Amino acid sequence: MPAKNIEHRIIGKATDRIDGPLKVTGQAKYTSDRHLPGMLYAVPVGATIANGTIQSIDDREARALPGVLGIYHRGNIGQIYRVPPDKGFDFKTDEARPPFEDDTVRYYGQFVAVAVAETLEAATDAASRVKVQYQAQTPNVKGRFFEENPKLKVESERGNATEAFTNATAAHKIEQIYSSPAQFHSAIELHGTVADYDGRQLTVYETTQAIGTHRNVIAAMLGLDVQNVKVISKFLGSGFGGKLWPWTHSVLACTLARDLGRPIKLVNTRKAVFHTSGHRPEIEQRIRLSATPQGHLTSIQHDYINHAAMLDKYVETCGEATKYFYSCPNVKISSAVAKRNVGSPTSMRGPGAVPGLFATESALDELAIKLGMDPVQLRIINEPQKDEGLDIPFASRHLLECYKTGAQKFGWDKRNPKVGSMRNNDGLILGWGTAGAGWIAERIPAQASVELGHDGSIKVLCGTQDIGTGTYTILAQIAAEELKVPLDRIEVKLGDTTLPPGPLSGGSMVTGSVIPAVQQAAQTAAKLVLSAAATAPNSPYNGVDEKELDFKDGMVHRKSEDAKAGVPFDQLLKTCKYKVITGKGQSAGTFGGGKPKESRHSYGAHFVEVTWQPETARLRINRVVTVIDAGKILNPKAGRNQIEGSIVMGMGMALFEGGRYESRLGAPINSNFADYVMAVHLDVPDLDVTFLEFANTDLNAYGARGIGEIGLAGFAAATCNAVYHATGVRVRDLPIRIEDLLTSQV
Amino acid sequence: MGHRDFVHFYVNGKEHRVGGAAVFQTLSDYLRQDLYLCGTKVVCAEGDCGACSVLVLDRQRSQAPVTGSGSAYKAVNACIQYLYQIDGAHIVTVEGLKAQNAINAVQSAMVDQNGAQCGYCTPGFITTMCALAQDMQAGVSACGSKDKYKDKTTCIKDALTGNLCRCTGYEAIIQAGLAIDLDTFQPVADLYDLASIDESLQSTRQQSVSIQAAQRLVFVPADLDSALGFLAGQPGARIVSGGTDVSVNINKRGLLPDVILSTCLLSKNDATLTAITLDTASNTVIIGALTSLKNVEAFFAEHVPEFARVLWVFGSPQIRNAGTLAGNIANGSPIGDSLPFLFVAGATIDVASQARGRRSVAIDAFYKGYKQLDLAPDELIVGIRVPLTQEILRLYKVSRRQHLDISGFTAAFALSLEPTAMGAVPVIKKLRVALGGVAATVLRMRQIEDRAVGMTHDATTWAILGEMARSAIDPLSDVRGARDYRLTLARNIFDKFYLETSETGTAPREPICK
Ligand SMILES: Cc1cc2nc3c(=O)[nH]c(=O)nc-3n(C[C@H](O)[C@H](O)[C@H](O)COP(=O)(O)OP(=O)(O)OC[C@H]3O[C@@H](n4cnc5c(N)ncnc54)[C@H](O)[C@@H]3O)c2cc1C
Ligand code: FES
Ligand code: FES
Repeated sequence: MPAKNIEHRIIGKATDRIDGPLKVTGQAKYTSDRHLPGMLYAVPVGATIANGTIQSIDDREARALPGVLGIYHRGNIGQIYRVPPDKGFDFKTDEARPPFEDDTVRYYGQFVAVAVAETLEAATDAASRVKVQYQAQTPNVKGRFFEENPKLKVESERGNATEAFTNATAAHKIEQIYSSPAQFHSAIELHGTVADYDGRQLTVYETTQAIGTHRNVIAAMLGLDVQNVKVISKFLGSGFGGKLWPWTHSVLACTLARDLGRPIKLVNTRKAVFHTSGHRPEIEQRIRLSATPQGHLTSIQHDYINHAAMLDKYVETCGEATKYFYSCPNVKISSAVAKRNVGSPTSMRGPGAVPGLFATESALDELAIKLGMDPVQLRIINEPQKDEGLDIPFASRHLLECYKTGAQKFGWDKRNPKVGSMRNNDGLILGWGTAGAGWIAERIPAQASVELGHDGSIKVLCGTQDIGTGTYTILAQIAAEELKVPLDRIEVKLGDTTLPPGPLSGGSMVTGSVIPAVQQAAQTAAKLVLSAAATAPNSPYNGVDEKELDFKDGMVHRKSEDAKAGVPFDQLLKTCKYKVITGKGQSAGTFGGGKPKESRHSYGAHFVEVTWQPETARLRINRVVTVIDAGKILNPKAGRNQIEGSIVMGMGMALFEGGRYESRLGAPINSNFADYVMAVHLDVPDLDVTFLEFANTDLNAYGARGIGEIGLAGFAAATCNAVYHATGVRVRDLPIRIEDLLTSQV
Repeated sequence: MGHRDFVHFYVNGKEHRVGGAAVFQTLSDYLRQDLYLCGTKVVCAEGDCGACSVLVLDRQRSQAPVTGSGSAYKAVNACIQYLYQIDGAHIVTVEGLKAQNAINAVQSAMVDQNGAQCGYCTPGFITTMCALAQDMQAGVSACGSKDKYKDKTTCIKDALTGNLCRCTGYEAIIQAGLAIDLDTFQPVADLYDLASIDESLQSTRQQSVSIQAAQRLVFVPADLDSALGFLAGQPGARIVSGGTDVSVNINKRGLLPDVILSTCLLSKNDATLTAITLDTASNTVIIGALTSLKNVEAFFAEHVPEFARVLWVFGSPQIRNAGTLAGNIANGSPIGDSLPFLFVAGATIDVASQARGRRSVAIDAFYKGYKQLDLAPDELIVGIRVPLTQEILRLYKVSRRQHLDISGFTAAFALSLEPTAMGAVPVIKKLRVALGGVAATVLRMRQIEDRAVGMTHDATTWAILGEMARSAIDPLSDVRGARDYRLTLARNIFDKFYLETSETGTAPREPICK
């Protein structure tokens, strides 16, 4: 049963987004909506080869166009510095090479020049007329990384997995390779920058999930004092990881603003976003599992290789969940990277665990079939008592409860394991599959302040950003809860590097991280108001012991009296001549430190039903039951949304999404929304999302963990498992293509 | 009458007259950069996401009253509407929905249901949902049928399928659609003085527009004669109707036509070019070339539901609101979704030119090769005639995603059976089959049609015919499907057709929003 929950007034209640009205009226201002006086437009020119060198750039025709200020390239762009090495997130970039640094082209679409003009039309036209001569070489964009037999680096090992696997009998083990293509975040808002330099201060309006990192990186690359760079991101059209670290468009826009002395707007086209703004890499994973005849896992080997850009070495940590997910004495996890002529990969929603669980949870299903066991049963048998990877206890693990609830809601007990044996009322063949989900629950350092003003305002200030997950609302909820005032009294200020440094929006860590900081800030502010009340000469409570005073519904009052009998805090501040009273708060991080004392994760289980029509090879996801335990859900309205959004993205991952690199040119050919297909409204199945809410207050006082990513973990595996059950075809290469199912005998 | 050198339109009740090179920009750029109306977002710039959806007063739905509830605003993608396509239009953006500074019933439903997460897709959803709410109020379903909603959820999904959201998983938005309070929803038309807007636009409507700027020429004829006259002098001018094909090619594939003829005024001034009528004497549907696909869908929903069903999965509502049947025919793609039906129905294309007047071409003679048409550079498609029959009709579209996706393979069957004694296996009297996506043009499978006559309507026959289809075609592999896949589909579709039309057939139909 859920741990004893503390009663809250606002936390945990379905709450409308405080920014909802701004968004539905089109008034919310995003980066590309900024217009500054004298602003110029910049449009980059992308390379039309993926490997080779630039021979010459002829910009005469482009420069001669009316309204064009200039064409900038390696020959005439101002100084751009490198980012200092850093192990943490402070200076992180996934594409470390400054744009235009050399004449080498390493991926298709790499920016080789940029046109600047008075209007977008003129800049676009100019960019299209820049003639670049290349010496092209054959690019390497090949998949099938294991065929090259790369040297694998051991990431984690316990017991002797190789030996256990070799000794196991063939009937009780499996070995398979799973692959997933490059997946693109495809946040609806395009990446873009509006940069403004006044000779000293650079203001950068940016589509970023991490304003602090963005400021540090831009300051370093432009050679500016970090104090003189301000990054603003008031509203962000989501990011899914694609906007975590700075990309070359922003470096170019800021450099041009610095050098031309006029504001610059640079918004990538959709195609440029596909080419230059990150993706989840193409991955191959080899899974070897062995078990006893009763189904106890005796070994897990998980080897994975992802493609990386020529100059960078992004590793997709697919084995993250493998270490702790099941009980198994012999586990070996190793990785390698395959350098390719591709743009830099980056974190995408659930990096590591999402592709990792696709492979491991598919493999587990294959093992269950081989052993003749029910896949849920197999998971129950292998439930660990502790995190065997780190040999530490679990802080809160309720995976089996997720399975139990999900199986019940889905009707799993009616499943006939025989392939193609089940039909629905319309006579369509049904496939039922399941898989588990897991995601880290961590905190990163955060600061916040709460300001109580003599004008009656209550402000929460935090230099984090709301990428769409509802951070504005959550912060208002926390402050309202702690100050015991209605939600609509609170004003939240985010998305500005002059605010107290807040967390980056990644790893589902914002909510968990900011709770302690905002709580502390609010409590401190309230306390300071009380001490002002107790000490200020004009105060009606002058001389009263602070401990006998309380702050509720915006009133300062004696504990012995009702709040209504007190004085409104703004009146008190006015009387006592305080303009504003500020409480500060901060929370320490847990992520990336040494070995933790407890293993902190969220868990979930997906149950998926597909329908299959063999004649036209028509496959549809029909019904989904997902059960998640991510601790206390602060706002059920926003919470459901996150999981539903993940499931629909998971449908895309399973059925549609995949970048395809053309082998001759090395171009990702489906770099647009007509060809990079995502799920639309009519694809949406019957969705049933349940939260179990086992609150564990280890991470913060509310017992809340993040929910941005977990819903995507495991979903593709559950779908592939359902597809196998319907068709008898095991798909190990995502996305599931109808062509693959034509071998079905069902 | 002399020509106008500006396009004339309204945005949120305000008049705009734009001339010169500025007409060669998209409506979305004009709204965002010139008017600072940044609620309209640009996300894909090619009609695939709906973030740029704005409302346009639809004069083609002339049956509907122009003011008052039920007046017809329709959503279109502003990113593929160039200013020369909107002459004479009244555009309403998300900023123009504000009634007395309050949010409307659609907006409050979206707030209540948490339909906006990052909010970037939201303005496009709001405008599209306002069109939906207006249609719901008027009792017209999103799929164009006048029937009341049978399945409201599907109809909402259908109406919003042209709007991508990467955050919400759509469920909250669907709930918002269901929660719209139609009693308090004030239709967009009620927010504006449409009579005076109309009067103002009327004053310029009879005058063609001719703008030459930046080495380009655009002509917006006010009547058919002017159009044909212009084409006679500028043969090969790029005709733009809905622009859902041409404008995408401009944005995405670097198409830069020097000379453009935009039909947007023609469709407002010449009712014969937008009317759809049933000639009862010949039992033939006569379709004005410039009527929107949405209108075609609505008409056929009553007369040939099977064709309406294909149009239901054609692009998105925004694409069907803007796109025309003539555009689909003239675009000449072998995977054009309307073509297989037009082939088996024996449709005729009417074309007109100043020099040679009118002529008619049978649809299967219209295509000469990949994107090669029997259409002279000075000719305009003016109408399409579709004979109605009592045959068993089945149309198929196979695509990766069921909706808003270009087909990989299409097929059409029209079958009539000899009347037979009760219990006897019926015999095929007549069959017409067309396949798309298997060659450079849509193919009529005449050999199969001839062979089928006199055969019994049973599984063996259809297996034989399917094998014939497989060996008769030579498809290519591309992004939308590998060669083998297409061969298999061509073979299997015959089984599928039989299963659906034999009396014991059990293969179900996908539900249609009706
Ligand atoms: C997101 C999206 C989804 C789509 N989905 C589908 C789909 O599912 N199925 C499908 O078949 N198509 C689809 N299309 C393609 C396109 O919408 C259709 O082909 C549509 O019918 C084109 O009509 P239009 O009026 O917009 O054509 P336009 O773009 O105006 O013109 C298309 C072609 O026809 C010519 N033309 C237009 N009118 C005339 C005329 N009167 N006489 C002579 N020539 C003329 C033009 O010169 C041009 O060559 C989609 C497009 C988009 C952007
Ligand atoms: S921007 Fe995507 S449809 Fe217009
Ligand atoms: S709310 Fe973010 S794309 Fe829809």
